Amino acid sequence: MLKYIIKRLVYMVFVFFIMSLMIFFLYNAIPGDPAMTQVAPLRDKLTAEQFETVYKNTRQQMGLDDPVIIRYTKWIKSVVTLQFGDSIIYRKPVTEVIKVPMKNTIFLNLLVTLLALGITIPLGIYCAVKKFTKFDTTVQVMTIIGYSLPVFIFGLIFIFVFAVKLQWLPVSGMNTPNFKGSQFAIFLDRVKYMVLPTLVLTIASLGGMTRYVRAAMIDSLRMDYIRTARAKGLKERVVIYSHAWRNALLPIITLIISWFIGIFSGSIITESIFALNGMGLVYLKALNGLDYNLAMGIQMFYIALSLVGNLLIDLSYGIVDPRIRISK
Amino acid sequence: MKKKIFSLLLTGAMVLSLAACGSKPASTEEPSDKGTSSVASTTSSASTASTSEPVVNEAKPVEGGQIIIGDGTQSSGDIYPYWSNNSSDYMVYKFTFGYGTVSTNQRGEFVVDPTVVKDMQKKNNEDGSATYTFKIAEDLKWSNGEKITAKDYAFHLLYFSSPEIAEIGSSDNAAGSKYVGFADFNSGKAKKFSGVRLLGEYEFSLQVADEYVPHYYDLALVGVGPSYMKDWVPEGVDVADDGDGVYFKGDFSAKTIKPMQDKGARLNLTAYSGPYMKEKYDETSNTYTLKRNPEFKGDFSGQKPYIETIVYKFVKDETQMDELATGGVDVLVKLGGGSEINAGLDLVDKGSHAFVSYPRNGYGKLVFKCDRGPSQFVEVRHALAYLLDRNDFAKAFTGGHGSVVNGAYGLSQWMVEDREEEIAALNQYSYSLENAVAELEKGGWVLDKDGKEYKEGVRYKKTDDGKLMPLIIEWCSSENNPVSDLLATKLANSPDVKKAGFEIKQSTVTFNELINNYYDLKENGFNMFNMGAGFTSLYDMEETYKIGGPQNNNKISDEELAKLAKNMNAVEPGDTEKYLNNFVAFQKRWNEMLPDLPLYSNEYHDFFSSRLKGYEGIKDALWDISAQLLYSWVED
Repeated sequence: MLKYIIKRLVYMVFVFFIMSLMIFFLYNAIPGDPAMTQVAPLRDKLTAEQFETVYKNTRQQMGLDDPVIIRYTKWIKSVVTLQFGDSIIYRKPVTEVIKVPMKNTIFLNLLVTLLALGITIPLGIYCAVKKFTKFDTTVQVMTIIGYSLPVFIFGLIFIFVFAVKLQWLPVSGMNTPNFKGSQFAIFLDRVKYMVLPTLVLTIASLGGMTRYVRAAMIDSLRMDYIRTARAKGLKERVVIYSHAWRNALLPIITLIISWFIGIFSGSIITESIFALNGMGLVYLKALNGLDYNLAMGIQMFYIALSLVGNLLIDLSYGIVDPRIRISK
Repeated sequence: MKKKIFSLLLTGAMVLSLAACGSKPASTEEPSDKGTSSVASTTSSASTASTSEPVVNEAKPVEGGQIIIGDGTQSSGDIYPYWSNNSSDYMVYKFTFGYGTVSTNQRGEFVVDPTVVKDMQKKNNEDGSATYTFKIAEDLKWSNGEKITAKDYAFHLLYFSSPEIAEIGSSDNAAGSKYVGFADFNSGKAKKFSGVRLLGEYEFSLQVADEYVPHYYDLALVGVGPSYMKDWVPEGVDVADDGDGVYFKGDFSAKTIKPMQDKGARLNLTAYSGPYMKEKYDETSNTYTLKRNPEFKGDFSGQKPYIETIVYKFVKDETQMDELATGGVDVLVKLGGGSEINAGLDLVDKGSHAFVSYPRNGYGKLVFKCDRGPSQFVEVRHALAYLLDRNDFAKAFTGGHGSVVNGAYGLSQWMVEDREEEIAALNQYSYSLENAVAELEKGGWVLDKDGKEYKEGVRYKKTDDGKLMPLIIEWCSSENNPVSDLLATKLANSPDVKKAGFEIKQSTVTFNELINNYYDLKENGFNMFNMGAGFTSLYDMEETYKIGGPQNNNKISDEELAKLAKNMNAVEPGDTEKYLNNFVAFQKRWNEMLPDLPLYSNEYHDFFSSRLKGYEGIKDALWDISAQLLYSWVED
């Protein structure tokens, strides 16, 4: 087991560096001049000579005139030391920039993930057990609709109904501006603002997972060992949860772990609709503003996360299914 | 039956999808032409003129209350414009920093702020420069109660012109760019800033460089506000003057000031000079909370704010009208899109909200590159102007809430108001295929690709080198831009454009790539760009049309236009008649040369809750919410 993990870690480091090379060269191939973006507001204020000097100094400071290999070396050094350099939009270290958006994103996604898993797993199992009943058919239709509709449609409809018409919930934002109260009151205020985005993201994610769990359970329930278990006279609950569900879990575990890893990723659309200061919006802003350090920093963080996630998924197989011996 | 229900459900879902996909708000603006708009300024904002009193509601103002302003730009918490280049942060800067020596009134005219300046003396020097000596009031205070002295003004210019701040990451270190000695100080050659003098505890002088003298807007050049030294430099650093310019005494270097910024000093300022103080910035929701500054003495007329708390909140364009309708925000400013204005007017009809409207001080435009391809010929630019029905375009883009201008001016400018008749007489280039063809024929575009007489297809012209040049316009437009989409329909793909013998090739690129091409940072063959222009109170076109100048983004080489642009402001301050004559002459020549083609000028709308009283004073884009809110109050 330990040998396997060490092997995988070495492999991960290798993949990480290959990816860093690709990301660095791809970003640097994007047309545009970050130095000019930075100094453009000064064009009105300076003479031609002064502007030229400022522009050249800025390029030098940003290291844009260095050979590409030196730029890569500097950058990868900052990545390895978890510095990621400074953001040119926010003019502070990348780690500082993403601190609050990351917190917001995790808070929202954690709520959504727990809620969605809490609904989809029992629902999927129930639909599989009661397959082709009216309930199952209705759920199938609803999940198809839910799966097909883009998330922003849910967002706009929910805002219209719950915020504009019924005025039960706020339209957007993360808390009431200038809200004063006890810590608990502040928490409740935050919850009020989180209801709509959580609801939208949860509903948008129900369709896929429910159908996946249902399909895995149906496959599992068809197996000979289920028939044997039933023939042995085991209770239906034991058959479903101890025999069928345990075996159905293997394909589902991949998705569940991916979901938990995904709590670090922002949702550009949902964050945009609800004006949430999350990772999705920061990433989008970084791309639009040619903020390479910020965009590449976020990208490398997600790459590292995916690599760790894959390792966790593989390790979890061994835990869920004793037949799999990963040390071999 | 089951199939029918299923089909109905699916159909319903599809209709919902289509409806949502089709409802894109038309609020996206075209990219702004940095050459004519300015975000940061050395001049602080609390002010106005004695000639034009702000409109104050006759009802009795009430003190206290809170107002929430919605803004579509995500703020960063970094309000100082020398670091941040964000319009939302800049508005907060305007609310929180004041006591500038010079301010603008509602007409956009510059005036010395009598609340701040006790006395100002101007002296023309023999070397062509001019020295302005200010004696400031002795009872000005920072929000923390400390006295504001001349040193704070000198410090502002010294610090925000220093090469050291550029070294630690500021985006702008040109605060004193108009003063003698700036170039040497800014480049690090000199340790003293000779054009800025500290003459006493409440007295300082500024020496404007000869190239800016005379200047009709001379006051704009000497508008400077104070900065609180302790927020920017470590203990032991001071500002001194030994008789030949101000300088930093003590250990002032990038190394010593960087740790302060690394610890977030500029994000946690401790003293403010404007009508409001930043109480907190909520990074979670990108929201500023501002409180009334108890030490604020008033704007130009001594006006202090009534409203206790101002909240500046980030809202999305898609839902901002919902926020307004549900009370999530109380004010939305500078709305220019047809659909959002109509949604706001619906709220006004219901009686819950009110609005003010005023013309944008700028316009959306087509920029022509006048040094390459067919667009270098004025007849081609004229022909394109004749081939676009700009009234129809403006109506379609602004939903009827906009108009068309015919020169390089904004409808909020006092000069346009004063010379209304002459401005109205400028050539409007009304839609006419015949006129377009006539212009092209006049310009020699009378050949076909074989050099024979033109019959149909793309026109050609024989250039001086004997080669044939096709009438193909290479148009560079930015992605996700509704102006580009409308231009493609109404100009590039118009049958009359083809009939006239044009071919317009559109290339859609990212905004950053467009900027690179526009500034000619890389070689490109684009003749035409769609951009935006915005004018500030300081209207100065000299650099924009200087032949060979780096800010001449049109690359136009017209001696007369350059001369008129240069001479326009080279007028003694106060000689308004001469200035206005120059202004009109410039506009006429500009209208003839047509380096740009203005497309539309929005009628901006500010919508606000009926709780907010006294907000009706905004008449133009140069007197904005940061100025008018001092005269407004909340009635709950």
